[in-house]
Amino acid sequence: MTASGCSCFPGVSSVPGFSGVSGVPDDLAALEAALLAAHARRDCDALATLYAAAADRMERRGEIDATCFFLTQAFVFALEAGAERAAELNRRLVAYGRAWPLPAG
Amino acid sequence: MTKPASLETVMMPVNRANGLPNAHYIDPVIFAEERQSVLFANWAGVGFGKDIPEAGDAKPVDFLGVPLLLLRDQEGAVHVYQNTCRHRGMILVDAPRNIRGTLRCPYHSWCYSLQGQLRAAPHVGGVGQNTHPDIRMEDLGLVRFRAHVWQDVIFVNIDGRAAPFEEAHGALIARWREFAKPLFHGGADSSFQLEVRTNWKLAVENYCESYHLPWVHPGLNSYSRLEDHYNIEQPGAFSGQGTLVYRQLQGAGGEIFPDFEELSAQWDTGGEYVAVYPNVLLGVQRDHTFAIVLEPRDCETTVEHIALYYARPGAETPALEPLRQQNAQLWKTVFEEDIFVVEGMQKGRHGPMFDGGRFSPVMDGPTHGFHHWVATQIEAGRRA
Ligand code: FES
Ligand SMILES: [Fe+2]
Repeated sequence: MTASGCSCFPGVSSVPGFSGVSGVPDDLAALEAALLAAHARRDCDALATLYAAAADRMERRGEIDATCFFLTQAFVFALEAGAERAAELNRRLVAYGRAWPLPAG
Repeated sequence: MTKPASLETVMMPVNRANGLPNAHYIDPVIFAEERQSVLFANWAGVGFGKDIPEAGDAKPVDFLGVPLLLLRDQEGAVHVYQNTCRHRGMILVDAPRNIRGTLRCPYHSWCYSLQGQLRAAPHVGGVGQNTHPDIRMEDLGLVRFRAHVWQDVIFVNIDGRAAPFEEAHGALIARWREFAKPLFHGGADSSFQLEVRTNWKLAVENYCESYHLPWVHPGLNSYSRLEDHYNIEQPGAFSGQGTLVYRQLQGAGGEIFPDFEELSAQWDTGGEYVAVYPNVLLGVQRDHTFAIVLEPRDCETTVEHIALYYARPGAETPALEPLRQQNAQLWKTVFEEDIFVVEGMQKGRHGPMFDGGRFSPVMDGPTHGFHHWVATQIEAGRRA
């Protein structure tokens, strides 16, 4: 983790398409701020939503590794929240060959 | 290392036996041995169903140093897991809380279902890669202990080798089959804890005898005379005492608690108080029951967790709330009256010439029954 303390984008510099906090568009900075706030209040519903939004953005850019990183984050918090969207996030990861399908039930 | 004393004299008939030697109360080496041979090898009480009433409720419990997680799943079933992540061994839940979806480890976010299956191992195969051929999800579920809920007490067999609960305690289940009914915890005021400077066994021993009633509980005895009590003895499983003159508590307006349904006449004025070996103390009466889980903190410290139950939910009988409070206070007073004796017996066991003591051949059968059982468990552990 860098000294700038980004806990939402761990390994961010290792994700292709991410060069670090500087140089990312404003709205991504806003997204990061929202993620930090959601982490601070342990709001896993919001975390799932925000990480999914980050994944969508990366997907539009064709950044598959970054997409799957954010999809994973979103999936985990959706699972923790017991949110229905966990199944959909899992399907997207499975489609990229990045996760096992969730067992039925 | 203490050279273990022979327990032969403990296993003699009550009229000739001595009690367990001092070391069984004051020596941490023997305490560690009992932890394994007595408390882990049998069905020990570790908590109450009422502490995790809703689906997803999770409560961490430290049972003799073993981190347990009591958890109620979506179907209402109670599970007892080792509260340790299968990845790097992080404690999963550090305070009671409700889990809505899955249980996420706070370290690297491996996620477990309420049934204990590993559901996600994020980035386990690298960033954004959630699979790895050598990480088999189905092999990495939470470690589960055998658990059984009876009379709302959560019993656990840590070593996994005890007979099934229904078999080990079949005699008491049959004896009290009329109380196999829904029990409703009386609410916040119907639970309390007492921390006592004593070895856990002395709390059992004091509970299962009525010999001390006229001396220690003169108030109780004014309406529950010694000769109205009888011994209950089931070698190898439980012992205690019964009363023939249980009298219901009445409020100022003559109100009483509703009875459990369809009880036979035996229970009109009957009450039974039984120590379920090793560490659970139960009481049943026509209109309420209670359970005490003894938590052995260390060799000379025990926490008594007490919970009272009724035949109808508190929400259905709000007018009885003052009576429930009064009842809880009454029992609390009784249990507090016992503290000086269990603490005093603990101090007494630091007298090096104490020989375990002699039993009243008539009054102390239930106590000796417990000693005999403990000695049997320890000898079995020494042979194993
Ligand atoms: S220790 Fe639990 S996920 Fe790593
Ligand atoms: Fe007593």
